[in-house]
Amino acid sequence: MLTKEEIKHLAELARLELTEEETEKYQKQLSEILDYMDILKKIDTNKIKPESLASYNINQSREDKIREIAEQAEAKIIVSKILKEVPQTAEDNLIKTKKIFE
Amino acid sequence: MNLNKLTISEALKGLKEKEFSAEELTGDCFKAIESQDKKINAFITLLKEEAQEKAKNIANDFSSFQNKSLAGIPLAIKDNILIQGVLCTAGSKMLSSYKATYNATVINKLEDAAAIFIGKTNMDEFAMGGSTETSYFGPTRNPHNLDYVPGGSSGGSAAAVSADMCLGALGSDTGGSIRQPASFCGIVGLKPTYGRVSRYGLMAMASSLDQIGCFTKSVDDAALLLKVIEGKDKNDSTSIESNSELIQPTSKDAKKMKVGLIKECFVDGLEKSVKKQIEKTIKNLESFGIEFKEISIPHLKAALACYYIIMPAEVSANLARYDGIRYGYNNPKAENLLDLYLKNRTGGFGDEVRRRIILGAYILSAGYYDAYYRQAQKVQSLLKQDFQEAFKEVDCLVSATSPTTAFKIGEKINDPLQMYLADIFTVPVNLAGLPAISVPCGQVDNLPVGFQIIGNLFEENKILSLAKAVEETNEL
Repeated sequence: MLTKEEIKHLAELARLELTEEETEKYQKQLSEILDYMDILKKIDTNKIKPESLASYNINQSREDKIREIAEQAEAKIIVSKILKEVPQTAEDNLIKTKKIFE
Repeated sequence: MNLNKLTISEALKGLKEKEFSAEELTGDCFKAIESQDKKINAFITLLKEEAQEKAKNIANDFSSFQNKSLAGIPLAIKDNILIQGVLCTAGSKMLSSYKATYNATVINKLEDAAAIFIGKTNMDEFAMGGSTETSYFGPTRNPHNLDYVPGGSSGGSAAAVSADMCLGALGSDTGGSIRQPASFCGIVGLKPTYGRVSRYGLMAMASSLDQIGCFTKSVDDAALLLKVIEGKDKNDSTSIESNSELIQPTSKDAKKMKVGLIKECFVDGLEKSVKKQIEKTIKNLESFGIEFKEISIPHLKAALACYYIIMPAEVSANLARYDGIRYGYNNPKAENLLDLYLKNRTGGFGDEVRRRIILGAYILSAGYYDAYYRQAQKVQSLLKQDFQEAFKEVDCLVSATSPTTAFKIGEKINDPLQMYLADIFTVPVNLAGLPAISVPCGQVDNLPVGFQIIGNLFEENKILSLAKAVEETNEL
């Protein structure tokens, strides 16, 4: 069973804030889900290599060529579209956020 | 005439023979939306003006569009697939005002084929859920009975096609999100082989499992849509050019097939009434001349546990990008950087998304990684091997798509594990990267039942042909 402290710690790592009530709910639900996962522990996998992707597609490569950059005007349009989605901007097309260093 | 009720193939024929115009066709779809969608809630965004204008252009100059494979066909698009300049919310408050800055590759391909986009459909938040109840925009309702869920996560797309509000739709399938709602809504849902369709411009949920596919009213239409959207894309390095060309599916091609009944799918969890319907379908196919045998996929029992480790692990990594700094929900009251992350993410994400992010963070944390994530990957290897062994003996495998018919709204929303169990027959397919289709096979208490057909990698032709045989033998 996961402890309340574990849930709080995980939430903080994932940058989520939980109320006391939510912490208790997740503690119960996630413990239940993890109990269900125990079925995996019973399977002998000593000789098995882990599979990383569902894909059978490996090592996709392409020639390392320089591509034509977009026209100045076109680039401006793309930038303005992206900036339109930014919640807080500053002058000169900058994205505004909080200080990283105190 | 209700043109919205036509299949894509029928509409293409009618347009070509000038029985009606693209404008009339799109107009009838919007009439259906206006009369039904207040109750069903299949759409988050409607593109009425854009769609009507495009339909008009096509109608006015049909001869120059005639060689386009979907000229004038009204389609709906799941709201996690980007259309440039159009709201794209993923069913989340996090993106409730986000407008896409570029087109997904599948959108470019459909535009090249002259299809018409009529709207963006409702979905479980970030495609996490099996009922479309976790959407920030409220649940979608099942057109067959409004008290029931349409399935999920692509419930809006499934309901829109099922209620004839469009002719076909795109969805995404990470663990069953196309096939399960197709089954609950009584339509065809196709999840192609992993890599057959580019995911560029699809919001990532669990990248090693995500695949775009389609909802249609017929098997022929599914083949038609797949043909347009498939293909290798330089913007998605996991996409692959298939070397088996899609052909028009015919039941005749299914006649020579040997088909496996997955033994593990005909056990306890399967509802009796659903089982009966599946057995009836198998009987019909047998009298049609198809040979069946029982096949065991020994690790199938562990697939759901495996999925609920791999998927949340990838979710927790993929959704780390949502911080509300460059786009998305932003709470202006944040005091410092940590507070900003906490406020934006807590304010933007709903309950199920948070649950999966926390679960993923746990699974990937030091000390648990080997016990959970690595073990799940090893079981995934075993499961893939099971399927490869099976396909040495049979052409396709079949089961019910979901162990039950649609459940009531509110029935499972407070019990995540019960909700996850609805995916038990669909997730193994994603873990093995295989193509699969859900095709309607009758009803139980006026709620549809879906028949799942699974094929080997890139053998969409086989599953489509067998699905066609299901379609035809059920009509008899």
